[in-house]
Amino acid sequence: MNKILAIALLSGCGGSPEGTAVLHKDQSYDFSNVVWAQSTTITSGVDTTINWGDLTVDQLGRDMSPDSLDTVLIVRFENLTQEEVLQDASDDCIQQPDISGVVEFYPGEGEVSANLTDFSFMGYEIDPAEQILEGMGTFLLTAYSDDAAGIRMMHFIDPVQDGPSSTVELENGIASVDLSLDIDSGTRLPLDTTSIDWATLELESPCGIFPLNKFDRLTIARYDGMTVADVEDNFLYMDTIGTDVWNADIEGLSIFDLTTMTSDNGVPFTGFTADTLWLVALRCMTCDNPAPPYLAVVASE
Amino acid sequence: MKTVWFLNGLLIGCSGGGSAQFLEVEATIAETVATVVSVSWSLDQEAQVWLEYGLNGACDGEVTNSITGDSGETLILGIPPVTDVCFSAVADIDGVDLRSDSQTIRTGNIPSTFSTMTIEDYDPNLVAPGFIVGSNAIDPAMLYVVNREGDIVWYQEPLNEFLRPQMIVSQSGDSFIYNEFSKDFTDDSSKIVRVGFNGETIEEFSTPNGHHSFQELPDGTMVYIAIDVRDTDEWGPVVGDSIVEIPPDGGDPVVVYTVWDDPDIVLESHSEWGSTFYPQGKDWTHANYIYYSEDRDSYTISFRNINTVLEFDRTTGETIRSVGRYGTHDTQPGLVQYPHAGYWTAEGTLMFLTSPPGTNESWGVEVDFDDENMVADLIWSYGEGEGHKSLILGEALRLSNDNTLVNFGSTGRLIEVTPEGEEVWSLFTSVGTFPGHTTVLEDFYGEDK
Repeated sequence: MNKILAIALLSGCGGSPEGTAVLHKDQSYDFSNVVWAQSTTITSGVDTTINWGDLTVDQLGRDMSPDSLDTVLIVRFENLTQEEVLQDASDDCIQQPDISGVVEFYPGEGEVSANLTDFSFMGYEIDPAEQILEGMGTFLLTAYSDDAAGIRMMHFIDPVQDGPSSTVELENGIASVDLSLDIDSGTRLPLDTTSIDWATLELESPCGIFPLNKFDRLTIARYDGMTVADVEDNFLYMDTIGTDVWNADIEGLSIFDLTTMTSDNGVPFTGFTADTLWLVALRCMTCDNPAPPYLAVVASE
Repeated sequence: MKTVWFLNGLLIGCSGGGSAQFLEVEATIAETVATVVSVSWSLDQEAQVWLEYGLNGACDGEVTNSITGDSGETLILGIPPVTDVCFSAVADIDGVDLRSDSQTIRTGNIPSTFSTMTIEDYDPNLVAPGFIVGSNAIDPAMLYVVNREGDIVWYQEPLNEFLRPQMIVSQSGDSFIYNEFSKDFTDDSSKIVRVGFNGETIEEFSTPNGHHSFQELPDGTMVYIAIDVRDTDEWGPVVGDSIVEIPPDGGDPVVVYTVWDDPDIVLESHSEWGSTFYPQGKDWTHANYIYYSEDRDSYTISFRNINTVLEFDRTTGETIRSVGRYGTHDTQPGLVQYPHAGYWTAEGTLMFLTSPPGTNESWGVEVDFDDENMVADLIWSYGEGEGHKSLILGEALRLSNDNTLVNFGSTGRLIEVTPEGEEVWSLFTSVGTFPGHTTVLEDFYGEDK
């Protein structure tokens, strides 16, 4: 914790130190996403191959290499339909009690396919004849890369008695996330902000208040010569299109002195300026959804 | 050290206590537990000293335990993350309270990988008092103490590489003890660790081949479950279980029971015979819990794969009573199916979690033993018709107010119910993880206030 801020708290003088912006939900942008995923019908109770050799664009439209997948999961939802699973995924509200079982597969170097029988959990290997059957619920396949936030691709498998003996293809375009956002919808942060305090930030979601501990990265980005619309059009690349970007690990914190930050280009942060576009984001790098839970525009001109 | 505030005696205003004064009161956030506030203090004379504190604007209402001396360190415990704590140090000077000026410090946040604990059906008037002490066993393994609002008030840094399925309160009441072992059982890194409330490791015990569960006995003996792998002519390597004690002086581990020497348990295949849970061989017995009863001087083991809960005499090693496939007592068919966490209540009944065949559910059950007629009757249960099916772990704990905390293991859900089965509190974890074993800590400070 910043020492000055700590002492201000200690003194019991009330309010926030000068330059400290207390973050609240009214400052944050409007954001929603709709997740859509296809389904492949397979033969109930029969081993089936899952192939991702042609997967080069993830469901967020980001380029990827098929052999970059590090984890593939099959999750069973006994009491949710595919539509309900997609809705919960859109809301980032899939919860453990919804899940009746999970099996994992960790691809080896260059491995771009697996059979259902290659999946296991804690030594319990999957037996399709007992565990991938019609009527047992909804089966969701999800794939992850360690080097990218969020799910790379999702797909349903639908075991049907006498269904086709088909390979499940995890390929481009079988799932998508449609983003809807208005970056500049919130109350802008004061231009003289030099520190932020998010201890009382309550961002609502369909499954409750977003947990404070999930904020693990602070990003400040400056966009010279760009408009809000320009950033919205390249939202998932907000880091790379910035003229300069300051990142900080904020895990375990609830208050942060911005003037301690140094940008990726080695430039110390000395304060916001009125002549350009600035964004401040609190991010969750462990969440399935890569969109920042909190994002605000600074009140520059 | 994440936060340091220091005030010397010149800055501290005090009230009461005549000419006595606090020389120093310094608060810091504990190095490895950001929800623990450590306050070091010194006085110009010896006295009994404690802290009074409050949250979110209040500066009193809560009291720590006390220390007698002219300096010391007192922990403020049970505080949620990112919470302003106002406190003052209080010294008893000849029957008059000397009180330091109040200070405020904000607790830190818990790691971002920590599971969100969602609370439902909470009736504060009907739940048993205290915090839930436990862990999420895997992906990542998280040790924690959670309050009834779902706030993590104590934790250790999550780990992905290991399983940590159990954490208990030590017999001394001033520390926690947890177990840890390899996630895929391919190497033997098993150990038991004692950690102080300030998050600092006090001691570690290597527990060769240890897994699942352990207990600390009143005399300091540690007892744990270990796999016991032996070659067989018919099946090749087979994984059984043994019970191992580590003496209070940390001496060599002593095997006090092994399923291989139990004349009542038969080596034969079963429905889980094909499991590769243990890469060392066939997963025969799959013990998942060890319980020591001081009153009975007995151990009770729950064997998942042979559907048996067994109590044996600690001194003689002989079976006293058991239920299930190899049970000494008859009970209703299917009642003991994949049993977890068998233990004895103060009333002498046996509680455990079971998943009766054909139900696609798990139930917390209480069984009463009739040693004369050699029967064990179901006298209480919760879970029938609720649709919670645990595939891994789980338990049913009788609480101090006669409620029962049913842990539905891999479903991620804990539910406290009244004796009548009314839900008065439930917690579920975020996706991808689930509770290991749990226990209840009524008060961090015990009775020494």
